[in-house]
Amino acid sequence: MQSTATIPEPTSLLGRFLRGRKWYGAEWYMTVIGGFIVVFIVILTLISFFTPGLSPYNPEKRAGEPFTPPSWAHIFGTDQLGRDIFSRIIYGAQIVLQVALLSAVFSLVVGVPLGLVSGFLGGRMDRVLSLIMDSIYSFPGLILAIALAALLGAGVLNMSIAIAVVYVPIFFRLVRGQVLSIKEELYVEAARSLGARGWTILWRYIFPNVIPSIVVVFSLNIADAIITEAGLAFIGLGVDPSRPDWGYDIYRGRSELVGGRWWPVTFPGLAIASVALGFSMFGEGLSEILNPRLTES
Amino acid sequence: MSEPVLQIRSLSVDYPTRAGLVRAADDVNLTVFRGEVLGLVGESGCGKSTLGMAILRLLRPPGKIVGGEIVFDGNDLLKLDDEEMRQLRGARISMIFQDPMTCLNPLQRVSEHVVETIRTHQPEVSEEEARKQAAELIDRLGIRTERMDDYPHQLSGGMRQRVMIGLALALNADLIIADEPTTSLDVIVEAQFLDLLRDLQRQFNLTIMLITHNIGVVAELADRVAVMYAGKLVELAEVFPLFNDPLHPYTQGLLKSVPNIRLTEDHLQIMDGSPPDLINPPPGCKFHPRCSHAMERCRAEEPPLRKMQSGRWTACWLFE
Repeated sequence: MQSTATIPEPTSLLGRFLRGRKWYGAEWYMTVIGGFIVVFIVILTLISFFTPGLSPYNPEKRAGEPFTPPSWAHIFGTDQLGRDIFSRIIYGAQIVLQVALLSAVFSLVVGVPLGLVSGFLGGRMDRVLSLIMDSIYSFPGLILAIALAALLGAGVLNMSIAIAVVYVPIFFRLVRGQVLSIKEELYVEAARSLGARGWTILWRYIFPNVIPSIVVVFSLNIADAIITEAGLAFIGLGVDPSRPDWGYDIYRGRSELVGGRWWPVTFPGLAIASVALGFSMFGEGLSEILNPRLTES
Repeated sequence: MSEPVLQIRSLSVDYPTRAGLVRAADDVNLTVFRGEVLGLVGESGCGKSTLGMAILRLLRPPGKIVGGEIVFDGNDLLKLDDEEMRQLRGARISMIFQDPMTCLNPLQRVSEHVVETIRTHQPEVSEEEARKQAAELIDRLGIRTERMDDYPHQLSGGMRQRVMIGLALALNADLIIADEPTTSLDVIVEAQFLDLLRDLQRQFNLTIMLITHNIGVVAELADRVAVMYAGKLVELAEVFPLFNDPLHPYTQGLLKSVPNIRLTEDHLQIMDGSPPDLINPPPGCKFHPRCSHAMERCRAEEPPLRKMQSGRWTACWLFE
């Protein structure tokens, strides 16, 4: 036909992302604040992982008088063994983050493909999988995690697996439900009428439309897993009592509250809350932004 | 007449529902010839869309083809395996849907839709070549090529519907089934769309099966018209004879119920009654409860679709 037709260059991924977007709105504030916390904690963890001397004191050794209140020497105070709480929080992020990330990745890697296939193909496999997932889901999450953690024993990997099992059904149910509804969309029917293969429909029509929800749930899941990890550590199912761990520090600091010594509990608690909040905000904000339908002006 | 592209022979489609069996298409015989636009009209629920989806074998469950043949290019489509049928869809028979707002993947660019459709059926075509073809196609549809990398939500309804035609045309399908293509467009966009469709039809000698309840659209585009009522074909004729002198009482009623700006309001007649319950269809002719000419015979025996001397087809005992 007309050779005058100009073919525009395909834009880059970043170009696509930035084009025609508004740079204000609640979703941006949430993403930026949440993202800041997420990036901060991830970088902090990475640095502390590779450089042992980062904190002002050795987190596992006595650094001053026990129960020193917050001061310039110990900005978050010291615990009952005289260890610097600020240093323990810096190094405690490692375990929490490793466990939370690993468990969320595990449950995503298992739950998403199962949900996609189960929802798309339906039939007997779908019924069996749904039954299994619903049984897991109907179990109280923390209790199941406790049972599994006790069964598997200590260690980052074992804890991650214990927590991942609890969250697999969340991904599965989310993805399966979305697949069931997207499967009925007219554009899927139109794609079929144009001869698209089954896997093309699943991969290019259904999966991309599920991603925004997966991202939110992934981030919310990390937030949840942080709290679950702290819960497991709190009751002594953590990795190793001598290593700094926010949940375990709260456990040991809890009895000091009655004596008016608030700092051994408060600072690890704030750390858990703010990191969990950061991941939730990041996930929620990102989900609003990632969805091109919502950016229509 | 030219060669037939599609021959539907005694096709019946059932929807088993909890309340009972619905026969949405009942013993339908219909031939579509190359290069023609065949209008398929009828009220909502008369089975016209079911017929379209049955041709592509994409009936939604529990819909099921229970009898008949659909002969396309010498093969009975009902005997092909799923993979053969898939290869046919889009390449040989394609479809335009009713609602352009939702028939494009919201997360895929327009160009990606076209490239994917081309490459699904012609994997040997390179990504760049397919993109070039997509640009030409989009240009031909009257959309500026710089819009080809837009997402569907950035396009207007009319543009999206044109993209749908483009997808249906991308591989020069032998038959295009257009299911209510203009229903969700406003009248001006509808007129532009029909112009475009007519131009493309003439230019490429397209064969189109136009499913619609809009008599105006049929008058505009179709060469022949098939009228469907309660799952049965009741009349089949060239468009002008049908409009000038509708034979079947249902067609007469249908045409009378179309508003006409030249006539005063009292000429607009609305057909009495409503379409029959397909779970318990009336005996005999399914139209007899609403027909002013109904005779004893109509209540007992169902009239077959027969050829008149004029070469038209109708299913009514009045023309015995």
